[in-house]
Amino acid sequence: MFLGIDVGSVTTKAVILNRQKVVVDKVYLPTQGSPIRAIKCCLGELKRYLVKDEIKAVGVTGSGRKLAQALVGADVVKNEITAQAVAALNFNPRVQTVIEIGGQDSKLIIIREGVVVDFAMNTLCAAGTGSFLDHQARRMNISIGDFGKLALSSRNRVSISGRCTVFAESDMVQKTQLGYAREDIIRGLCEALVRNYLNNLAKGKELLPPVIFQGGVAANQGMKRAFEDVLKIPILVPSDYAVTGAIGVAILAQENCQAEPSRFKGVRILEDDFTTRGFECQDCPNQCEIVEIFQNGEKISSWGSRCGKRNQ
Amino acid sequence: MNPIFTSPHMGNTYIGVKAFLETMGCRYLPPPPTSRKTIELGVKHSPECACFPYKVTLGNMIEGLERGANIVLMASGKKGLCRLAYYHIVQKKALEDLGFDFEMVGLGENIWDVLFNKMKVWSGNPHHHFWRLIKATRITFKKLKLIEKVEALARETRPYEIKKGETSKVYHRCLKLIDQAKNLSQLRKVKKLIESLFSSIPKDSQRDVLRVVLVGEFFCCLEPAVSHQIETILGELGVLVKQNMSSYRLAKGFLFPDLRKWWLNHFVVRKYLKCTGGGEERRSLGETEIYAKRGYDGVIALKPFTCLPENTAEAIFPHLSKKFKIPVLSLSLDENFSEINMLTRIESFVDMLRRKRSVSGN
Repeated sequence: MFLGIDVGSVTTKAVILNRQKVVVDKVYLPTQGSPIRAIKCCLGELKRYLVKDEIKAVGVTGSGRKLAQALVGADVVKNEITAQAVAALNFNPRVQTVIEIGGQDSKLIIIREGVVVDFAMNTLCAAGTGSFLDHQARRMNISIGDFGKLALSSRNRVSISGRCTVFAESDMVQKTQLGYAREDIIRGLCEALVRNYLNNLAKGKELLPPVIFQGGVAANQGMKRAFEDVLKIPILVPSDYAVTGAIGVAILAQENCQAEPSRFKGVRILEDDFTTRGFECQDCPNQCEIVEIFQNGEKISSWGSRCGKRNQ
Repeated sequence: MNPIFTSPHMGNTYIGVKAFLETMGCRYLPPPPTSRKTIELGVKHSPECACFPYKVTLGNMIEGLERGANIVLMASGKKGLCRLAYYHIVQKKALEDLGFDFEMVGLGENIWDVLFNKMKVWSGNPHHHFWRLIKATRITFKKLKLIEKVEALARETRPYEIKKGETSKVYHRCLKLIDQAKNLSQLRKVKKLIESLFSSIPKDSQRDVLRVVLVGEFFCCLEPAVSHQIETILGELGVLVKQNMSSYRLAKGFLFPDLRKWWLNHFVVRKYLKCTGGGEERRSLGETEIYAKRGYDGVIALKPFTCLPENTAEAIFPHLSKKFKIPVLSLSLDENFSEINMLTRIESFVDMLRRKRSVSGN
């Protein structure tokens, strides 16, 4: 079996894959600003699979991949783009476009004949990502789970500015004060986010079907509908949409798995004590921020220095 | 007032400037290498929408003047350029507001006047000025040319090196050697030494290496502190970087017309862009087409966040990318740019190129 961990900005995901690339079990937990604890919790829930030499290879991805690599002893460390593309290809080998919207960034991956030929990540603004939707749901006192359903029930179109999160929010507040229905505003917001996404990421790119929509925001039916309305093509959402990054990297770990045993540290990391320490190196005016990771008080890894002298 | 020169950093240009001024009998104090502190200083005293090179060079100037320099050489002022043309004027005002007493020289305004008249006064030795000028120009150009060669060698060696970081070590050593060479005969010896140093790096020449061309605004391409060492990062990921801009070429461009650029502008880029935006946008577009035709795997374009010329080019890149089937990754650099984000993008880009190549089978 293969373990894939995706340490994202907002949530941490872990999956166990068997040899047939089928998901045996998956965990999805909020990172809550403490990736070490989140990784431990995820592995704690998958504890029954982590016995003996069952795990053949481990892959990590996400913005916290470096930390996760030091923590669990990963065999494969990959960026999110590759992991997401691999997962999408596993779900549908004919896929040509992957839309991925996560907590803090959004990606567009263009695939032709099974190979990534182009990609884009949001560069300027957080509008169009999960965090913003989450924030708005909380502000309007709606649970994020109902957000999509509410948007679907809307009958009118309200136009919301989607260029920037701050403007979108002030626009929403204004429309609420004018007395527009809540569901119409939410639908307008979804459409604004889709517009923002397409303007920022899809510049000059051809979005051809099949289109796969994955990442945490794919749970939002309203967003899916808004994409379908704009692109005029059906959007597919895989059943494991939220953990696709982890699936992708687990597949990569499997492909990469050779005779040598995995570097995986095993269940003992659940008991071990991990601490990080960050400091500014004062050796030159660059003042690089160095991060060091300690396992039971012993330094296992460090990174962050530009000159490379403190990287291990 | 005893003239002490300083000039903002742009890659290894300071070695050439130093050689020139010291041969002319002047004192040169380079600012400390561009660091985070430099950038913070520059950002603090700049308008927010000024482009990143403005901020970094301003930070350099402040640090140089604090060290005790009183004449700042800035490579701006050439007509027909983008905002860079008046940077030295604005920066002079900004620095005077900070209370520095100094003289600002925009090299592009009238380089011949600077060389033949002002230089005579600064050096304090009006005799044989012309001959010393020729001597200084020769050694400067030879040094810059050698630096260009060292940079190219480093780019070509890095993806093949067996022990990571070896090339960078040799590279820094070579630059030091060039800097220390006092005259042409020493420089010739250094040249031979450099070749042997680079060929002594253990290499794995069987490695499958991707070829990527780096285009974009010249300051971003040349200053590693601004581009976050993109060349080193790419090299260590196994990518052979091609980058045509160099201090040598820029210095030559100040004195003589750049024929390569002229050819590119009039015969290659005219299809996409008929007039100039003032920067390097036509070089970016032209080189994209040329290297795509030569079978390069990808293009990485660097630009400062608010750069108008490069933003113009960015709008044309998708068209070129489609026409020549070459992926283009555009990175916009400024003080808020996160290195982690850049790493993710570059890694994904290189991964993508590698998978593409393994499928197409060449």
